[in-house]
Amino acid sequence: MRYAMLVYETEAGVKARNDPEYQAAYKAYIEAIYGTGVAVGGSGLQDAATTATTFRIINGERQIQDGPYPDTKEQLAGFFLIDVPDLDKALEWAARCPSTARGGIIELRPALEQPSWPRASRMEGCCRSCWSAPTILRGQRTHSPRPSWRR
Amino acid sequence: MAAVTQWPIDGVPQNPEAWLLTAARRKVVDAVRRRRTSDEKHVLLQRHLDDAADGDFFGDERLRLLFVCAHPAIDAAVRTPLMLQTVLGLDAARIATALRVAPKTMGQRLWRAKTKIRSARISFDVPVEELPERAFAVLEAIYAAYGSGWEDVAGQASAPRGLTEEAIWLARLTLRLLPDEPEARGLLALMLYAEARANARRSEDGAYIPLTEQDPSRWDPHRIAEAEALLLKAARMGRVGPLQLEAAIQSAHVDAVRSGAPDDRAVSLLYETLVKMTPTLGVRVAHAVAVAKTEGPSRGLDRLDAIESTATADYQPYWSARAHLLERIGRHDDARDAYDRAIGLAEEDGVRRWLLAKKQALEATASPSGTIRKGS
Repeated sequence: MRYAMLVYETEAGVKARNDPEYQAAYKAYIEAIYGTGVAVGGSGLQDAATTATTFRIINGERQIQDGPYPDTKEQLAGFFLIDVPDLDKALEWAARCPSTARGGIIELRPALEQPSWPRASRMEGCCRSCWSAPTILRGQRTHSPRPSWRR
Repeated sequence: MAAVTQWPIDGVPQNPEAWLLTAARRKVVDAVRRRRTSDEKHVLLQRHLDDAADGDFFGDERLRLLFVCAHPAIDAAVRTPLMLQTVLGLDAARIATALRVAPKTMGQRLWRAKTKIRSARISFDVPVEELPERAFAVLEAIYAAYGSGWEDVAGQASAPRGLTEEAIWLARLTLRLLPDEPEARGLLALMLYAEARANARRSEDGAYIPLTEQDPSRWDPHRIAEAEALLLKAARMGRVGPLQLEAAIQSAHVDAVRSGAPDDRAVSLLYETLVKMTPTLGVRVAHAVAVAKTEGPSRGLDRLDAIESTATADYQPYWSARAHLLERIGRHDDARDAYDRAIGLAEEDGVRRWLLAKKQALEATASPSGTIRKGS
């Protein structure tokens, strides 16, 4: 079952992005969630207040605004697309997310079934430090044993 | 040793038994002395239990309920919440949060279990031959309530505070109802040891403190004394089980920190026995750590390597233990990767920060190529 794991951060959480300890914790979390084959995609997002742009059509008229939708105290700070057997397992990974220790909120949304999606490859039978999930998603079988930022 | 009894497992030397008894006995006098000054909450709880057990009917009814909840036809995953709801009356949402399950899912599971009890006409009576096994299922479910995420590997204990009080209450009730079951004593002792250290696990600024570095003066002496007394009495009953063994290991840890002289051999023997009885992932990892202490880190690593990798991929204590042992044998690159995995899997921020610090310390002593700098 695929879930979108949406990570919302408070202002304190966004500020913590410059904290080396928080960065290291997040790096380890990302490595673990991809390394176990749980995450099949996702990304952190730049600050919503200064970089988001919202588009919609109201009464047939195009409206483009600076800023996020909805404009709230917490902002969508990143997301993972995860493939887990059930919601219990999804909650396990949500509990591990470093954002929650900084007041972050995680919303788990089961994805609509999309038969055309490639199945996520699990790391069984692969090396211990396998980071192949994203490459397999792109249809490539080869992978580097370590994520590119570590080489 | 007057009360030495036969261990039911072949090949286990007398040492752990003798050790278990002396360790527990040493403090039993203190236990009686301290019991008088035990805190008011304890007294209230005791009175509450007395009231409950006075009426035979009520006591019996609850025992029946506990046993029904642990019926083999009931999915093991729902036994704990079922007990918490039917015996303690907790609501589904609270149980769900404490056990980290979605409230809606928990509601459905409880409803399905209750429907099954009704429609499959699960008997409220327990056949005599099934009693020991069912009693163990009851105790296991109570232990699960103590904290589903609670692990204790080389003293890296972390207990979610959620349902610990409730679990201890249930264990007290079960012990009242099953006084001749040594494992019921073992379970209560085990949880009291862990609970006694609850306040010592964090510094004032919230940093995680591993067991070996804890300040014993911050432990609750009443709980430890009570645990020691329970364990002693259980040991005298002469039927050793996994919960007593786990309690004995706790007793050894407590003793080690207090005396400054850890008895690693005893702990290793206790784990060896435990791993034969209940080869769960947690026990196997803890056993490997114990072996590392008595036979060296590479022997410990061998034990870790013997565990299937599919089971360990997202098991944090495994990666913590692995990182630690790899570091000790100088495989710094591998140790760093293992620390990273452990950090990524940590749920508690205190534990996460502690692991980050350990990894940083490793990087400070190792050069980028992974070799040890001269003089470090």
